[in-house]
Parts: sequence; C-alpha cells; structure tokens
Amino acid sequence: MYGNNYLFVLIFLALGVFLPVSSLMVIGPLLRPNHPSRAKTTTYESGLEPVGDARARYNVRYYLFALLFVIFDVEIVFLYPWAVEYKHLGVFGFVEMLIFILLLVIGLVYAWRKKVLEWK
Amino acid sequence: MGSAVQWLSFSDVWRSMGPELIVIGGAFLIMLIELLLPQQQRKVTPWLAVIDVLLAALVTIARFGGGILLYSNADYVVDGFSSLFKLLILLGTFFVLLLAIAEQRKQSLPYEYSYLMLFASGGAMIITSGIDLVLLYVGLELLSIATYILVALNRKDARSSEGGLKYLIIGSIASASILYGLSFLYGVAGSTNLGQIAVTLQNAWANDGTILFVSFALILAGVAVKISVVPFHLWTPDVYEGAPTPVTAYLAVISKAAVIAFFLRVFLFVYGAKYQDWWLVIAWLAVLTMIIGNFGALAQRNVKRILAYSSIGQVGYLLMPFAAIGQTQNVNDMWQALSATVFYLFAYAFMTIGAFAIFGKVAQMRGSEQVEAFAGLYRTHPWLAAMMAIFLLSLAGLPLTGGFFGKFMIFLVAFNAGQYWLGVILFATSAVAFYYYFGILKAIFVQEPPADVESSRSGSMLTVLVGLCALGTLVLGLLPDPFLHILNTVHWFG
Repeated sequence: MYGNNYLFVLIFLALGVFLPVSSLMVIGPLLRPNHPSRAKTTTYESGLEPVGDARARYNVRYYLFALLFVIFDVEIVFLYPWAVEYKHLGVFGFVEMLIFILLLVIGLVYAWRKKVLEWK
Repeated sequence: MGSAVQWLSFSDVWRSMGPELIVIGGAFLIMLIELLLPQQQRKVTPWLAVIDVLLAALVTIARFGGGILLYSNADYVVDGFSSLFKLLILLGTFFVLLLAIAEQRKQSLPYEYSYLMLFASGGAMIITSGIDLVLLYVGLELLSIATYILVALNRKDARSSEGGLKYLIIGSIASASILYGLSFLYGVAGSTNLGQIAVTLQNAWANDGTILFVSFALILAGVAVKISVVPFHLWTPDVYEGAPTPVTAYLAVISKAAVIAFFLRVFLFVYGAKYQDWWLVIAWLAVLTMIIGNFGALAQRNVKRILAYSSIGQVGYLLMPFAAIGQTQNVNDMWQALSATVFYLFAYAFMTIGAFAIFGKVAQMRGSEQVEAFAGLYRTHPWLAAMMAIFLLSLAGLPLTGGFFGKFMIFLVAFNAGQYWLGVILFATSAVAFYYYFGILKAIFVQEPPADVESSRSGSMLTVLVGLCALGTLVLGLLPDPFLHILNTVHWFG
C-alpha cells in the first residue's frame, strides 16, 4: 500500500517535534545551572558591540542582479549533464541545448535593453 | 540508458507541436524585435503578434481532423479535443490582442503585453495537448506566470499592482496545491503518463483509495481557484477590476478555457473509473458557483465587477455537464457533455470579450466604471449600444444568441443524464442573472446621457472587433448546425 510510506513521514514528524521539545524545554532546564545576567541576553556579534537595527535595508537592485545570476547558475546545472551525455544525445541534444542557451541570451538582452543592468 | 526510449526527431516535434512552436517561437522573435526597434516604431509589435496567432490558427485548422496522433512516448497528443481547445485559445487571443490594440490608442499599455499574451497562449495550448503530468504542469505554469505579469501591467496604477500581487499569491498557492495532488498520483502509479496512470490505478483503487481521494481533492481545489469556482472565487472580482481591460478579458476567457481543458483531461483520463463515486463534489461546486456568482453580481454597481461575478456564474454552467454525467456509464453522454462544454466556451469567448471591449471603451469615454456610466449610450453611440445589448442578452441566455443555445445544450446533458435538479438550478440562476444584465441595458436605452458628454467616435478598430464578436455570438445562436456537426463528428480522445 502506497499510503504506508507516509507512516515514516509521520514518525519523523513526531520525533522532530518530540526531541527538541524534550531536550530544550524539559531536560535542559533540569540539568543546566541557571545564573542569568544582563550581558548574557545581548545579541552575539563576535565580541563587538551590537549596533543599529536588525532589519537592515538593501537596495532593491541587488535582487534583480541576484535573479539574473540564478538564471545563469541554473543554466550551468543543465549544461553539466548534457556535456557528460553529449555523445549519446547527438545532434538533437546539441541543437536543443543551443536553443536553450539562445532563450537565456534573449532574457539577458531583454534585461540589458530594459536598463536593468545599469546601477544608478 | 534503456533502448526502449524512443528519441524524438525534429520533424516529430514540428508535426506534434507546430502551432505551439509558432506561438512561442514567434513570441521570442517579437520580443527581440520590440527590444531592437526605436520607441516610436514599436507600435507594430502587437500587429506582429496578431499575424503570429493567425499563422498558428491556420496550422491548427490544416491539421484538424487528422485523427489522433501520439508523440514522444505518448506524452503529447494531437486529437479533436486539443485541436478544438487550441482553436478556441487562438481565437480568444486574436480578439484580445485586437482589443488591446484598440485600447492602446487612448491608454498607453507597455508593449510587453503582445508577447506575454503569446507566451500565456502557448502554455495554454501545451495544456490542451499534454498527457503527461510534468508537461501539463509546465504548460499551466507558463500560462500562470505570464498572466501574473499581465495583470500588473499598469504598474503605476495602484489597483493593477494590487490585483497582480493578489493573483500571484493565490495563483501560486493553487499551483502548489495542484502539484501536490499530482505528486500523490505519481507516488501511487509510478508514472507521469496519464494513460499509464489510468491503467495502474485500476488495481490501486482498493488499497490506495484514500490517498487517491486526497490527490483528487488537492487537484480539484487548485483547479477551482484557477477557474474561480465558489468557494475559491474571492480573488476574482479584485483581480478582474485591477487588471487592464484586455487582460481581464484574457483571464476570463483563455485562462479559464485552458484550465478547464486541464481539468477535463486529468479527471476523465485518470479518475474516470472512480469518478462515479465522487461526481457529487463537482455537482455541488457547480451549484454553489452558479448561485453565489449570480447573486454576488446583484450587489455590485461597478460594471467590471458585475462582469467578474457573471464570469464566476458562467463557470458554474461550464462545470455542470461534468457534474451531470458523473453517474452514467454511457460514453456517448461523455461526448455530449464535451460538446456542450466546448460549444458554451466558444459562445462565452465571443460574448465576454465583446462585453469587455465595450465596457473598456465606455469607461474611457465617461471616466467611470459604474453602471451609471452607460447612461444614454444608445443616444451617443447607437452601434456600441446595440452590440452591448447582444452580448448582455447572450450572457443572460436569451434565445437567438449563442449563450442561449449553449445553455440549452448543457441543460440537455443534465436532462439526458437524469439530473433534473441541476437543470432547474441552471434556469433559476439564469433568471437572477437577467436582473443585473437588465440593469445595464436600462441604463443604456432608457436613461438620458449626461449633458456634458461630447459624442466622440468609437474608433474603427473597436467597431470592427465588437462587430466580429457579435457576429460570432449570433451565428452560434442562429446557425449552430455547421459547428454542431464538427462537434458531433470529432474524435475527442484516444
């Protein structure tokens, strides 16, 4: 029965909830010494004094560059298996991959013409 | 590598996906042309898209009736079902592109819409032909992602951005739900091919009935969001109101038609055997959709929202044939239900796009989207007023129009299947629909136009487009025989 496979998911789920709760909330407090002080509650920043708000703001343009980067990163993921199986796939695979790269290049041209790459 | 894998050749790709290749390849080409042309000459890009759509339609028609062809290890099929839906999608895209060109003369839309619509239509066409879960999902996402962008096309308009964001979030959740349901299906059957799944499931019902019902419910919920079935309809009025009018028409017609094709393909192929136990779910969804869609429209004063609620009600009518045939074993009933759905979708495409076209024009001229904006349209623009009357009467389902004949066919399906109660609800909710359609007609014909309105010309482009839509509506109502003949003789599925 296919449904039985989900029994493992259920067991993992139960363990995933039980272990952290039991160790952090029940066993930990019973075993550890408890000496709170002000310095212990401050934010840990490698020994430096914590400065400013935790919610730092970035320029939204970083995200555009990140998106473009991800697209070409994924392209590499597809190129590797194709290169390994190149002889097997033959001309059909070669042309398919050329079409794939061409589509990505069109995307880059689009970004370039719409002035996404200019940092103002 | 098993030798059982049969490699595709380029001629196979062309023979199976010709129209899709023309649409999607053309979209990339038009995108490049738009990028390379100087700003003043970009006006031609929507016209290139129109030519592209016509070319794809020609190829589809030339291959029509060529029997059932399977490609790529039976992952892609060209049959009567897919050809008819592709023609519907291309027809709708053609009209919506013309509408966008007509709208653009007044309100400047970015030219991106011309190729985004082509991408969306390409995805929609892949849905109609794919019989592989992955392929179906890729087509669905291509359609969805392109329409998310289209809704937010007027990015400086706050309502358009709001609609786009709402549609993105709700549509993504719906896609995730569909994908989750498909994953259970794959888990049980061990294959992504619909035909193989159907064969495997025949033995799996006894053991895995529960998990298959979960997958059925998840896919149904996702599809229901995409075609705005009550109770998953709440995004519809906001998104339809915010989107530019041509995009609203696109969502209402093409997006819905494609997802209905997805729904029919998956449910009839995969769940066919078990469908008799679960049909009541769909029947009640259809009933709720008809009732809430039509009663919801009563409370609205904004015409775009009225049309949005009315399109929700229409989806109830479209679901009804499949709710009605749930209990029968007779294959002919299924073909009849498919005919009724496809006929109604064609009539729906004509009348909805026509109504949105006139609405867009009136909203521009009078600067208001309320029912009052239509006051005295008959005096100032007799042609638009007469055409709007045809569309509204057809949407309401009055005789001599395509809308009436479509509803009649749906009623016959319910009647033949013995589901009289569904037929009764169809007529009762249509009677409610009369009320709000006649509110608009009253404004057009009875009320006086506001004094300060100058009688501007309606624009030749819009006049022609509206005339074509009205012609389609009337032909489907008065001379349905040739089209019915095609529907009766076509080979729907393999």
